[in-house]
Amino acid sequence: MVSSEEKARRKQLFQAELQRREQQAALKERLKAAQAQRVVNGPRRPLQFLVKAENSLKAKEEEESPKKKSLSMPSFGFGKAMGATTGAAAATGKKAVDAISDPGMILFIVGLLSFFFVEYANNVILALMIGSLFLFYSAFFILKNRGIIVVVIFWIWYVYMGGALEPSVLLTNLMPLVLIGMIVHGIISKIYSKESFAQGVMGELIYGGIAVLIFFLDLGLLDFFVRAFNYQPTPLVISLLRFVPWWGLFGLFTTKKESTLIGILKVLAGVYLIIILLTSTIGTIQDYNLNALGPKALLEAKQQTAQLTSGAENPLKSQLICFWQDFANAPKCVDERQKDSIIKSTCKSQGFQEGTALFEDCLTAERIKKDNPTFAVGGSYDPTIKNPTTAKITIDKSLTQAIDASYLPPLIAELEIKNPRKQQIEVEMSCYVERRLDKTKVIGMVENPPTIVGDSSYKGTFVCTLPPEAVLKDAHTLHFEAVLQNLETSSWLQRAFVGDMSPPEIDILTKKEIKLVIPKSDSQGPAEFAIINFDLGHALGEVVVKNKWPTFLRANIENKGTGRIVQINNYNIDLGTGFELVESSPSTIGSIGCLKGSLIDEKFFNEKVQQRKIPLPLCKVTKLPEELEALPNPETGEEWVPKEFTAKLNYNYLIVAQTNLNIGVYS
Amino acid sequence: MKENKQKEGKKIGVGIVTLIVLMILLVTGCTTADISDLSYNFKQGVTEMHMKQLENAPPKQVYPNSNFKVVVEVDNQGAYPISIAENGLRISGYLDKYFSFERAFDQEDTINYPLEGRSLTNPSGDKIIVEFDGKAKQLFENAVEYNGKYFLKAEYSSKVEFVDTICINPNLYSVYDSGCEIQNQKSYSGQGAPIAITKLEEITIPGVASQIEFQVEVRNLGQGRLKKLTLNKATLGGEELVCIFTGSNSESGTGMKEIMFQSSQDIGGREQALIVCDKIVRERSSYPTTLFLDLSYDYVLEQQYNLKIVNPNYNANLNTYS
Repeated sequence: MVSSEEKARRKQLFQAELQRREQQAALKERLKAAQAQRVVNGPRRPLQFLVKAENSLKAKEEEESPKKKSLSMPSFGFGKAMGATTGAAAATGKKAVDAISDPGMILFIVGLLSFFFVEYANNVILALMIGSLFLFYSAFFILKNRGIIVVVIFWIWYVYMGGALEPSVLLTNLMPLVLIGMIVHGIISKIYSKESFAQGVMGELIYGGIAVLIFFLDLGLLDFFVRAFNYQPTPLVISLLRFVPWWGLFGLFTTKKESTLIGILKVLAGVYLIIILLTSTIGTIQDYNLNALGPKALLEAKQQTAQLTSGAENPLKSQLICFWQDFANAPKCVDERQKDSIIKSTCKSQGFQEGTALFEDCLTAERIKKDNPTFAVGGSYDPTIKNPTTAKITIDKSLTQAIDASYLPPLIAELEIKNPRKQQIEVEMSCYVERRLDKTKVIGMVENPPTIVGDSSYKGTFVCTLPPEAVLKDAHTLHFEAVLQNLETSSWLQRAFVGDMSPPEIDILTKKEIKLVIPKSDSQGPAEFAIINFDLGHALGEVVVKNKWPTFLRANIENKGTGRIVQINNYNIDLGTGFELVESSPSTIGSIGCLKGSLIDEKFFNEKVQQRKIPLPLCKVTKLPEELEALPNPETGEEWVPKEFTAKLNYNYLIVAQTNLNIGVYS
Repeated sequence: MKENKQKEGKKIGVGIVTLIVLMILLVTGCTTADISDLSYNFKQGVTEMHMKQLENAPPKQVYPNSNFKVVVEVDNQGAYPISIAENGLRISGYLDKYFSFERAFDQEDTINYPLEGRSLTNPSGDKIIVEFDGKAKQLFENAVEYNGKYFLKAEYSSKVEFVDTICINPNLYSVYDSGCEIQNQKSYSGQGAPIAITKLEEITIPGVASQIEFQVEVRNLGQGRLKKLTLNKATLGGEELVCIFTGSNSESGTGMKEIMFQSSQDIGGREQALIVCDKIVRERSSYPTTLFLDLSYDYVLEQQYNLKIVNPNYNANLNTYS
């Protein structure tokens, strides 16, 4: 027997089943009707708008989310680049053009251009402005504001506080501000975005740090540290210093868009870096004193490296040429090309014109200098002497371009002398015309008599008159020469006398005191025509002089100008009283001593290739002055004494100027 | 919506409060302690003699062949008197081609007496002003400037005292001794001088007559360099202790009551020494007593300054000489 309750339940189920079947039938009807309508009006997708909206949101999120894209951007890897290249093979030209609008790509292009431009401009303010621009651009557009607080604080410290390295500034000003900045970023990240507090804090530090690091690298950080820590850089480091456009590469490897163009550029950049890292032959670098990390210090360091390595051919170019020309000896070829390019650049920087005899002289002399250790004693320019004595002949070329053989115009030259120390310089002018074909000379007469220049500046015009019987027909060269007599140039050298101190004590003293008082180990002087380079000590460039070790004085006279030394009237290296010296290697030319002498030997100075450095005899110091010997001094308490010595050179110097005379029959 | 806004406001509020708390922490962390308490112990922490050049003496730059004054303020902030040696306060490390410095004539005797340290009767410590006559010489040729450097050095002698109550327990294993408890190792932050006793270790060797050994670590925590350290007196409860310097980073003083330091020692850190004192104790039960050490030292304080000689004829804007 079925109970009444069970009956009622079954009835309910039956009714529900009927209702379901009715609904199903109605749905079938609706679907059929919709299908019929789609055939006429096309498909109808109720979720299509939702999907579209979702997709656009996803794209936006991807673009905005640095975690997904911009953070993964510094993959800096070539795998991605390779992938991009293969993937981009099918990309259209439009895609390539689109790629240029990518912030990273913009930085790449502008960074690359500025790399060459700033190198040539050599201007601290310009370099700083461009570097700052790239720094903020990267912080805003590439790193998407991550690290912006660190970047701003860094910039204020660097530009307004001159990159001061005092612990007080770093600990009391910079560190708290950076910490606060990181915390603020962390809090903001936590509140307004999906990131955690820690992600915000670390993001500020990491991305700010990356931008600042690139900024420093571009401005010359490596150069600076190389000098600051007296580190002898490997060729690899020097190549990184000189030939890597940091901002450009940063931009390239942080591009978000992918296209054939970007892929190819990434691969090329990778290949360029590999070549740069593999090819290097540039020499070592001298020491430098750490003062501050300011823009000026960095750029000075960069310029000093550039000076030492200036003119070195780009390793990529050397590699390509050598592989093409002499594949078997490519490494040697690259090495020689690099060295030669530096020598050529040195001569060019000294003012020699490529193709002239003087230029060839300079090349030969520089090569000799590089191979001969006796020329090792060097000096450098004293940067505090802003206005050295200079002289220049300028030929008036307006009338000498196309000369009619029947009428020779006046041959005019101007002599300009800057004489800031108001020396009494006697000037003797001469001129001649040389036929280019057979080198025959016609000596001219300079109308104005010899002049004595005693003022701080002088400008004079001289006319060269050729003998009336001279007949000039074809290509000639006009030469004006001026002999500047009684020029005087001094140089100085600083040394620290420590008595009988132990090496560890000397190390400490050097680090704490000597290096600060005597930052330069070589002799210094104004950037003039010729100078005495000298060195006093146990070894070349050794600043500290002990009383027990053998001490030597070595010196040479260096022609630093573009002309020739004609005569050395006298020179004197003044060590003060109390020094006793013995000449170790007497000179064979002129009356040359290690402290005093003169050289008036026309034959010596008229050699075709004049030596750029004339070595002076080596002297051994046999006794130091009493006050330098007895150190540390118990009475005065002095542990060490710094001393400066000077050397004076009085000489005659020849400067020349030449121009082509194209003589023909024009009338 | 409203709830979300309220939540955001709450979060910003929390952020601002956090920031304010941080700022307060930073600001308060930088203030100095006020010494107004009459029972203030000056013989604590690391305090020492300070010296500084007075403003504009010398000026930042001078002209060639000109005279100037270097005025130095010497301020004893330590808790003990200091004696500056003859020629102890001097200017050195300058190139005599560009500068000369001499102590001003009327200042000859200024520092020939000890400078008292800070105490309850003299809470500021003694302070003196010392003058030097400086002369700038010629620049090299037509150089625009010479950026000279010199060092202000003060070589002085002073002392430091150490007093602490310690527990002596000759019978280490006595179960029934309810006296004081030995602290095997104690650390100290300083005694009001640049030289500080930083650690004391007490080692008891029990026996019929127990032996107590004290290992005292002395460190230079000041700004200068320690040259010599001498142990004048060491007592335990008024009775003299036998002490020697040992195991220090200077071989010259091992086994003696005096130790010399060479400047090379700060390669691996600051100067430090270890004093070992021994005492035979006849008492059998534990008792607290006073350990006293009196040390004197020679010390060098050094500061580097810059002084520029500028060419008055040079016009930087035009890059010319008048």
